[in-house]
Formats: sequence, structure tokens, C-alpha cells
Amino acid sequence: MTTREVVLRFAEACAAGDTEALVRVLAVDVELVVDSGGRVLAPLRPIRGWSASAERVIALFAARPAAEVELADVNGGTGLVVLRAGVTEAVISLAVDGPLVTAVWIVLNPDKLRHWNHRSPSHG
Amino acid sequence: MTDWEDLEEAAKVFAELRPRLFGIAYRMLASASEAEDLVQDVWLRWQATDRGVVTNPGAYLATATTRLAINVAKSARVRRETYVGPWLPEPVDTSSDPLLGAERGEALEFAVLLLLERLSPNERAAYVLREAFDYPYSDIAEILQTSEPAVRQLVSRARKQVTGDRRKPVSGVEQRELLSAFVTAARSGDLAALEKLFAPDVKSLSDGGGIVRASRIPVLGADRVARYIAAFKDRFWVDVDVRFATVNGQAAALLRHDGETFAVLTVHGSAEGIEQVLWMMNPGKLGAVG
Repeated sequence: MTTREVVLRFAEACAAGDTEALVRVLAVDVELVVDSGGRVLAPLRPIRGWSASAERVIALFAARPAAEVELADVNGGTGLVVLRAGVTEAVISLAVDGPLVTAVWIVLNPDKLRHWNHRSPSHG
Repeated sequence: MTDWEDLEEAAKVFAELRPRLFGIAYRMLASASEAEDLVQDVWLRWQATDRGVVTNPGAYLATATTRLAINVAKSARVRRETYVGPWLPEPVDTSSDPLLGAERGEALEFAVLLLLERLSPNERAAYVLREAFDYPYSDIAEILQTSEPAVRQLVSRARKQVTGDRRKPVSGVEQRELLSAFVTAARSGDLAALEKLFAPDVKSLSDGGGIVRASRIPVLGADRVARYIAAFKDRFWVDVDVRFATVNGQAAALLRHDGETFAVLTVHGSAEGIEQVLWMMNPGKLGAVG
């Protein structure tokens, strides 16, 4: 499975709010880190392990109904943007090892998303 | 050349180099906004510079950018100490420039940027210029105003951090997580959850010692161990109180009945999941942990 396929599975599980499907794509000792800068509701400590991580990721999506998830080029790799009404609310970067995601980095801090909200239309 | 033409020429030179300067600053600071401010600062300095005496604008501007970035990195460290919650790099969209102004895509992914954060600004600069931008050691020495052997040392120390610190075997914290997830799944007899926790060739062992009834033959394989554990959940877990403790430096679950420990449970995990489940049920060995 390519990294892109793994990221796609991750995205689909998130979009569907499917914790089980998300767990299947996470490594047992996956790490979840969310940067909110304290400005958005989010876990303030890194989370370890697939079950806890999957639950928190699904909860973040549940708090954003009608969010769209798109694949994006994030820091030279395949990542995700989460959009609501055309506004980027999160950028997600993933570390992938074989068929599994070993780290999930979610940036929610709006200060760090300014560039993603002023992209040229060609970048979607 | 008129002043106007001269300034136009300066702007042209700068525009060509800008992606590279941004690439250096972003890797140093892991912040696109800070990198942008910094590059803007370099542009102002470039306008004020006596450019007639600068023979290599590329080297000159890269030096200015790196030195300024080292200063900003020092003050950024203090600001980040008061940051609320975990701090992550500011993500950059690399759809139009996958290497972000560099020769190689090094020092761009989150995992590496987070590790670089732990290095001194000088180590970070040496690593970034060498690994991503392919600068010769002698040039980096000039930029950092140090000797070539010192630069080699900075780069080698940084490399060790970046490559050595990734993917360690399962740590104590993870061991505890695995154990508690295992206890939860075992108690409820959740076959699917158990199988998911196990590595494919997981082994379940017990040392019942013939006193307590327990299988002394190891049970092997994810599905068999899961079925074995699910099969005895009804008898085994009734009125059992679980306490988590550290036994011999290892996370352990003490299983107690009427206030008395009758079994100590430990698991060994790897990135694959639980590799071994050990049920210590020999009452003779339990005195020390009761």
C-alpha cells in the first residue's frame, strides 16, 4: 500500500466518523499531537495508542459537522486539509510506516493556518 | 546605472533567491509567518547594502538569512515555553514547490522539524544548510563564523538526533497502554478487540504451578489466544478487582479477589502489538507483590 493510499483511508475514516475504520489504519503505539495554541478546544497533551487517538480524532471531526476532508501537499508529503464553508480549520500531517499511520499531527491554531486560507485558487 | 535601475536590479536578484531564503528560514524556525517576516527583513537590509562590493549575492543573502534565523530561533525558544498545549510547526503548502526552495526535501516533514527544535540554533543551521541545501562544509563554516571541523561536528550531532531518535521499541508508557487495553478487552471477552491488540504470533503463557488451574501449555497465534481468553472470561473475571502497578520495572496488572492478589498479568509489546501475555498465577511467587 502506498503512503497516499494510507492517508486516503485515514481521510475516509475521518470523513465517515468511523472509529473502527480509523483504528485499522493506526499503529498500536501511534502518537496524536494537536496544536490548538489554546484557542480552539483540543487535547492539551499528546495522546498515545490507537484507541485513544482514534477516539480523539473522531471527536474533533464530530465537533465540525459538514467538514470536508481533502488530500493536500503538506510539508513535502501527503497530508490533509479540513475545510468548512471554504475555510481551512485544520491541516493534518501524518507519519506513515508501511500500511499504518505512526503519528498524527493536527494543526488547529488559526494563526498557523492563515497561509492555507489565502492560497491561490489553483491550489484549491 | 541610475538609482532606479540599480534598485530594480536589486529587486530582481532578490526575487530569484527568495524561495531559497524562505526555505532556509522556514526550516530553521518551522514557522512560515516568522520566515516571511525574516525574509522581508533581509530584503530591507539588501536595499540598504552597498551592493557594488558584494561579489556573490546568493552567498551574501543566505548568510544574512541564516544569521538572522539563528537570532530569531533563540528568542522563539523562550516564546514557545509559554505556548498553550503542544507546539507544532506551521504547516506549509508544498504543492507548487515540493522541496521548498532547497536541493533536497530534507528537514521539511513534521517529524524532522520537531526533532530539529530540540537542537541548538547553530546545530540546526548546520544541518539544514548541509542536508537540504547541499552547502559545502567550508561555506557553512563561513556563515556560522566557525571552523570547518566544528561544522562537521555540528552536522554529525544533528544527524544522530534526527536519525537515532525515530521509532524506538515500545516504551513503558505504551506498555501500560497495551496492558490496560488488554485487560479491558479480556474482561469483556471482546474477541475482535483482543485480536486487534495482538501481534500475529502472540504467545500466552502461564506458570500456574499446578496449584491454580491454568493452562501450562503456551497458546499461540492471535485468533487462538483471543478465543482462549474470551472462553474463560465468565469464570475468571467474576468479582475480580484490577490494580495497575510496576513489578520488576514492568507495567503489571494485579488481579485481586477479596483483597488478595491471585494473579499478576504482564504483556510484552512491539510496534506489531502484544507479543506475549504472561499470567503469573503461582501463589508461591506472589508474596512480594500482594
